[in-house]
Amino acid sequence: MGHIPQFTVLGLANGTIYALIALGLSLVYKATRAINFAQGEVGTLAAFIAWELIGRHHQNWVVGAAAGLAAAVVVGYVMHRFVATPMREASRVSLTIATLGVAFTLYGFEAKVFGASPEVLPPPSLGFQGVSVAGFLLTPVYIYAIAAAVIASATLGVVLRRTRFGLGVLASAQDSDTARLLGVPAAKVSAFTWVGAAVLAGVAGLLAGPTQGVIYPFFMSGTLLFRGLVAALVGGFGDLPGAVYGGLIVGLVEAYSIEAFVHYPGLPEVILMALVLGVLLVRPRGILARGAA
Amino acid sequence: MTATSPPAAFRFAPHVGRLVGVPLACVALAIVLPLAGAAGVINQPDIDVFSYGVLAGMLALSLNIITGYAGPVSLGQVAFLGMGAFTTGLVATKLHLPLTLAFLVAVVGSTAVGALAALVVGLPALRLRGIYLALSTFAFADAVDHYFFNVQQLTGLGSGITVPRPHVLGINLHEASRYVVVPLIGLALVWMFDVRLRHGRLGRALVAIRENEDVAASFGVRVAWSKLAAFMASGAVAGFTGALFAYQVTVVNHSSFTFDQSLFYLIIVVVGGLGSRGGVLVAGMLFTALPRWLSFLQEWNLIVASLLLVITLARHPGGLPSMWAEARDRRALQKGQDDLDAVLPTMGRRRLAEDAQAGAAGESGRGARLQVEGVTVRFGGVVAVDGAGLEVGPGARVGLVGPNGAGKSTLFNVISGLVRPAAGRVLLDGVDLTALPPHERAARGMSRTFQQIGLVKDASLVENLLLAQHCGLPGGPAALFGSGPARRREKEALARAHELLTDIGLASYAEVRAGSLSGGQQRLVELACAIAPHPRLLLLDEPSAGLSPAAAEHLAEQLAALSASYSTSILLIEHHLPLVTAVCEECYVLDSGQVLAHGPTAKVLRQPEVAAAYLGETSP
Repeated sequence: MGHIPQFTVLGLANGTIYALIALGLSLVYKATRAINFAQGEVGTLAAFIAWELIGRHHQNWVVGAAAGLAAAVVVGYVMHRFVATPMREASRVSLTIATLGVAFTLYGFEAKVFGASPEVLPPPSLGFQGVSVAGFLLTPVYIYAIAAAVIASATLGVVLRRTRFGLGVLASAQDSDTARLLGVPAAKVSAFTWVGAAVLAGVAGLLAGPTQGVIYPFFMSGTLLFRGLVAALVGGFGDLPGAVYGGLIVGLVEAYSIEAFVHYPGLPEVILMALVLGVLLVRPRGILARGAA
Repeated sequence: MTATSPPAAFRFAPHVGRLVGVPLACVALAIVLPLAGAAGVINQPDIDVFSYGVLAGMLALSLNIITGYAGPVSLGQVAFLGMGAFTTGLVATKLHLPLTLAFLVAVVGSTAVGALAALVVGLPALRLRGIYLALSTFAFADAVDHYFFNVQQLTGLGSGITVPRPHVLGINLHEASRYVVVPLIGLALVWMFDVRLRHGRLGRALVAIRENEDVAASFGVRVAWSKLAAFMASGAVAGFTGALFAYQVTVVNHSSFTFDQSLFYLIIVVVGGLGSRGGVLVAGMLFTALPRWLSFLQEWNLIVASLLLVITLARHPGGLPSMWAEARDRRALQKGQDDLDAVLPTMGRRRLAEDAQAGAAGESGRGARLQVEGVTVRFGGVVAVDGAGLEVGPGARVGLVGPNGAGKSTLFNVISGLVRPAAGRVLLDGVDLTALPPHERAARGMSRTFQQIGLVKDASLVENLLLAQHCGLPGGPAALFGSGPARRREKEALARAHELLTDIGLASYAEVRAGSLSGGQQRLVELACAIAPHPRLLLLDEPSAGLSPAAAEHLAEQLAALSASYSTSILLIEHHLPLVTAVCEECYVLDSGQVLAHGPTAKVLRQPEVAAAYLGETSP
C-alpha cells in the first residue's frame, strides 16, 4: 500500500471530472427534480465534434473545443425548448425517461456519423509536461480539469447567489409556480438550466476524452455518467457544492479500491454500488447533509 | 334505473380474451413454423431472427411488470437476463445431467436466479421511491456488467460459454425452425402469467401503488411488499427469458448484456406504452427483429426508437395505448346513460338491506368504537393538530366540522395511519393502532375517502371496486395461479363490484377508467369503494364536495340509512352543514388543531364560539 499519495492525487484529479458531471446533473435536478441521463452523451458529442476538427482536420485545440461546446449549447437549448418545456406538467420520472431518449438519439447519431470504432482525442497542452504531485504526474488535461471545476462552481455560485436572475433560478427551484407569479421568467430559467448543464457536460467530455484514452459513442454514458450520478447522490442531489465534494469523494473511493483490489477488475463498481445503496438507505440527502432525512 | 348489469358470462370472465389470444397464436406458429422450415418455405436465418424478436418481447414484458404496472423505473433488466443466461450456461456445461433434465433444471434455475437477483435489487424499494429507486437499479446494472460478468469462471469472458441447443424428450431442437417452438411456448406461458398477475389482486395493487401510494395503502395494500413482489415476478420472467436466450444464441457472451441494453429496453417499453401488454410485446419484437431483417434499419434503429420516445413523451406522456383508452372511454361515456340525481335516492337501499343481513350473521357487522386521545401533529414548526381527542361509539355517526386549516384532514390521516402523530393514541375497539401502518388498519375494518377523491384514476371502475375489497381477497401464489377457493372469492368480489356499480347507476361504465368520469360520479364510486369491504368504521372526508345540492341531500339520506341498517360507525368531515345535521347525532368542532366544542349536533352548531370560528372573530 505504498502508493497511497499517488492514488490520492489520481483520485482527486479524476474526481474533478466526476464533479463536473455531477454539477450538471445537480443543476437539472434542482430545477426539475428529474435526473438528466443525457448528461453523459452531450459530453460524448462535444468530444466527437472536437475530435472531428482537431484529430481529423488538424485544427487548433481551442477551435475544436469551442465547436464542441457550441454543439453542447445547441443540444441543451433543444432539450429546454422541445423536451423540458412541453413536459412542464409531466412527472419527473417521465422527464427522466425522456432524457434517456435524448441520450440514445445522440448515441445513434454519433454511431452513424463518427462510426463505432474508438478514436483518440488529443489532450490540450499547456507548453509543459505537467506537474508532479506526490509522485503522480498531473498532466495539463488534469490541470484544465481542476481549473474548469473551480471556475464552473465559482461561476455557478456567483450567478445563482449574487445576481437577480440567479436568485430567480433558485426561487423557481423551490416553488416554480410562486416564482412565476412573482415575475421570474420561467422560460429563461429553464433555458439557463439546460444550457448550463449541457455546457458542463461538454467541458467534462472534452477533458474526459483525453483522460480516458479513447472516445467512442456512449463512452460518457456508462462508467463516467454512473460516477457522476454517485457523486451527485453522495453530495445530496441538487446540492451544487455537494456535487463537487461528491465528485472528489467518488474519485478517491475509486482510486483506493483500484489500489486495494488490483487483481479484481470491476470490483470498484461493486464498491460504488454499495456506496449508492448505503447513501440511499441511510442518508438520502447526501452524506454531508445536516441531519438525516 | 336505466343501467343494467352486464350478462353473467361476461361478468365472471372478463379477461378470457386477453388470456388466450396471444398464446393461441403462439401455439399456431409453433406448429406452422417448424413445418414451413422443414419444407424450405421460410429460411432458417429468418426464423432465427423471429426467435430473437420473441425473446425480446418477453424481456420487454418482464420490464413492463416493474415499470409499467408498479411504477419504479428499472434500469437493469438486461442484467437479470444475463444472470439467467449464465445460470443456464453453467447448468448446461458443468452439471452433466441427462439432456431433457438439464434443460428443465436450466430453465427452473435461471428463473429462480432472476427472481433472487431482482429481490436483492428491489430491497431498497422498501424505503425508496421513484427516481432514487432507479438509481439503485442503475448501480446494480453497472456493477453486474463490470464485475460479475467479468468473472472468468462464471462467464468465460470474451470467449463466452457454449450452450448446445437442447434435446427434449429425444427431440433434437438444433435447427432454428425447431428451436423456435421453445421461445413461442415460453412467450405463451409468460403472457398468461402476465395476464393473471395484472388482473389479479397483486396487479390491481401495483397499479394503485403507481398512481398514489397513500390511496393504495388505505385500500389495505401492503405497498412495500407488493413492490418487492413485482420486482421478483419481473426478475423471474427475465431470468426465464435468459435461459431460452442462452439456448437461442448457443454462445453466451457477456457483451450481450451490457447495461446500455437495459436502458434501450426501457425506451422500447415506454414507446410500446407503459402498462400496455400488447404494445410492449410488439415494440420489443419490432425493435429487435426488424433491424436484423432490414439491415439498412440497423443504424437508424436507435435514433428512430429514441426520437419516438421523446416525441411521444413530449406530446402525449401515456403513449399510444393511453390515447386509445381515452377514445374508448369517450365512446362508452357517450353511449352510457346516467342521471345522478334520479339514481341517488335508490342507491344502496337493496344492497344495504342485504349487507345488514350478512352483517348480522358475522361479527364484522358491528360498528367499531374509535377513540382518539391527545393527538398532536407538527409539520416543521407548524402545529396542525394540537392535543385533539374524540370518540365515535359503536354504530355512532359523528361529524367533524371546523374552518379550513383547522386540522380535520390531518386528524383523518392520523386515524387512517398516513400521518404519524408526535403525541397521542388512536384506538379501535380499545386496541392501540397508533404504530400500525395504514394497510393493517384497513384490514381491521377501517375504510376512508379522500378530499381529493381517493380512486385509482387509471384503473377501471370495476378494478377500483375490487381493489377496495383487497383485504378480503386471498393473496400470494395461490391467488396468482388461480386455486379454486381463490377464484371463488375473486368471483364473489367481482359480483359485489358490479352490484355496487348498479346501485350507484354507473354499471354501464364498469370498464371505463375512473379518471374519465365527472367529479360527482367519481365521488359516488369512491363512496361505493368505501362501503365495498363491509367496513366497521367509515371515515368520510367531505363526501358532498363536487355533488349538486340535490345529490348532497340524497347522500345524507343514504348515509343515515347506511349507518342505521348496517351499524357502521361513521366519522364525517363536511362543510355542507345540512348534511352534518341530517346524518350526525353528535358533532365535534375543530379549530386551530384543538377541539373547540363537542355535543349533540344541533346544539353545538348553534354555539356562538362555533359561529365565530367559522365566520372569523369580530374585533373587540
